[in-house]
Amino acid sequence: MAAVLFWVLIWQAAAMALHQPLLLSSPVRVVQRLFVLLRDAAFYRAVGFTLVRIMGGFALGFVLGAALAVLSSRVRTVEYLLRPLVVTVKSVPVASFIILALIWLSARHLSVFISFLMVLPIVYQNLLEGLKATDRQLLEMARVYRVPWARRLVYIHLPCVKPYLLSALSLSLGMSWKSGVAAEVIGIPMGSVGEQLYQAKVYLDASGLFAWTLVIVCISAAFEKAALALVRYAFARWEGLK
Amino acid sequence: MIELAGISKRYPGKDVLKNVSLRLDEGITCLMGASGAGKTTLLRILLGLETADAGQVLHVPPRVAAVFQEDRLVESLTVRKNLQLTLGGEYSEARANACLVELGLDNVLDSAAGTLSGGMKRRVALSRALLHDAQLLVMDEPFKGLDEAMKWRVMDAVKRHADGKTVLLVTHAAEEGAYLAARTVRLEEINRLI
Repeated sequence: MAAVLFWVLIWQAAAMALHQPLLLSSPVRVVQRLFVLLRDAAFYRAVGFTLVRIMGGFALGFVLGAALAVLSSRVRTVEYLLRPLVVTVKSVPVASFIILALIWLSARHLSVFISFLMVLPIVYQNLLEGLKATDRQLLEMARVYRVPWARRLVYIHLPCVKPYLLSALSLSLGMSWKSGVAAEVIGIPMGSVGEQLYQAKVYLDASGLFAWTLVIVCISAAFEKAALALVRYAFARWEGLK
Repeated sequence: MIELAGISKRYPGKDVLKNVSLRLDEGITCLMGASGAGKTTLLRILLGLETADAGQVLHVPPRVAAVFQEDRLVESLTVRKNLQLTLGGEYSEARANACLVELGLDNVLDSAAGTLSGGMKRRVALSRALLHDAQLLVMDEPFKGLDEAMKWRVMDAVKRHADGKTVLLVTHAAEEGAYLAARTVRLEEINRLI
């Protein structure tokens, strides 16, 4: 907290020294602008519009990424087939995907697709790594006791995958917000957070740009913290330790 | 009757088992042998965890339980969950508690396996095997890490649970075989390595 305060003070000092609100808005102005935004119903509509789409894309990417990781851990051919796709998605610039997706999809659904596309390989790779790291001795034990596959997945793989799952969750949630909002800034769907950022750029509204950025950072961080806490709690409950 | 017939196994550069035959009848059979003689390899072949280069394992029953040299518990899970893992719907809290108490473990069902001492983990691994009601029970150094008094208590429990089962006990300690087993076999005597 002290470190954050330190950098806010540096920011304030830089804004005061520069004295060019168009180039660098001061934190005080940004907070004032934020309060103006918070009093406007359109702010909540924009946040709701973007949140639903980005979280939708995140959920789709997470579920499909997890399912494919399980499948790849069991069928080697699936892993080999998916490898080039995963490498491609990870190395192609997100802007290329956004522009390409704009040709296929309406701008309103762009952020769903882009956040889905960014989340999927992160979740897939992390979980696959976790599944592969499962203790072989435990799997042998389960084989001897003829433990059914579903029970093995829940009781042996899941505890081993836990740190990988938490890491995937943290990485992909941040990524889904960054990429989803970037998609909206390029696609400019009406009534989205991305559109608000675009308008701030067009009208050289630096304090608006900072205020919206602050909103995105806060929502993204809140979702990340809440999701991690929820998953940790669910694990502790399930492990019988809470 | 379970039979290992003419089992041979070779690892790169080393013959471990050659034409080993062993018949396991109901009751406890003790398998002894020097370190590196191939006891664990033979056990793994019996459990289907390794394939023999030659020979056959015959009449293995569908329900098999094992105590490995390692405890092989999911450390982040409670003892209850560890038992539920292998027992599934057959898990009964009363039976589990009774078996754990028999092995000198009180009130451990809610403890994470990773928080238990070495000796306690060993006994949880043993209780998992004893609760399984297997027709074949394979135990590789099952009393390793237990103090002397506890070892005899646990051996008594194993003796009670072995009733009506085929048990293969691998150990270095002759007194364990003498106390528990109806028959003791030395691997060197049935292994046809030159």
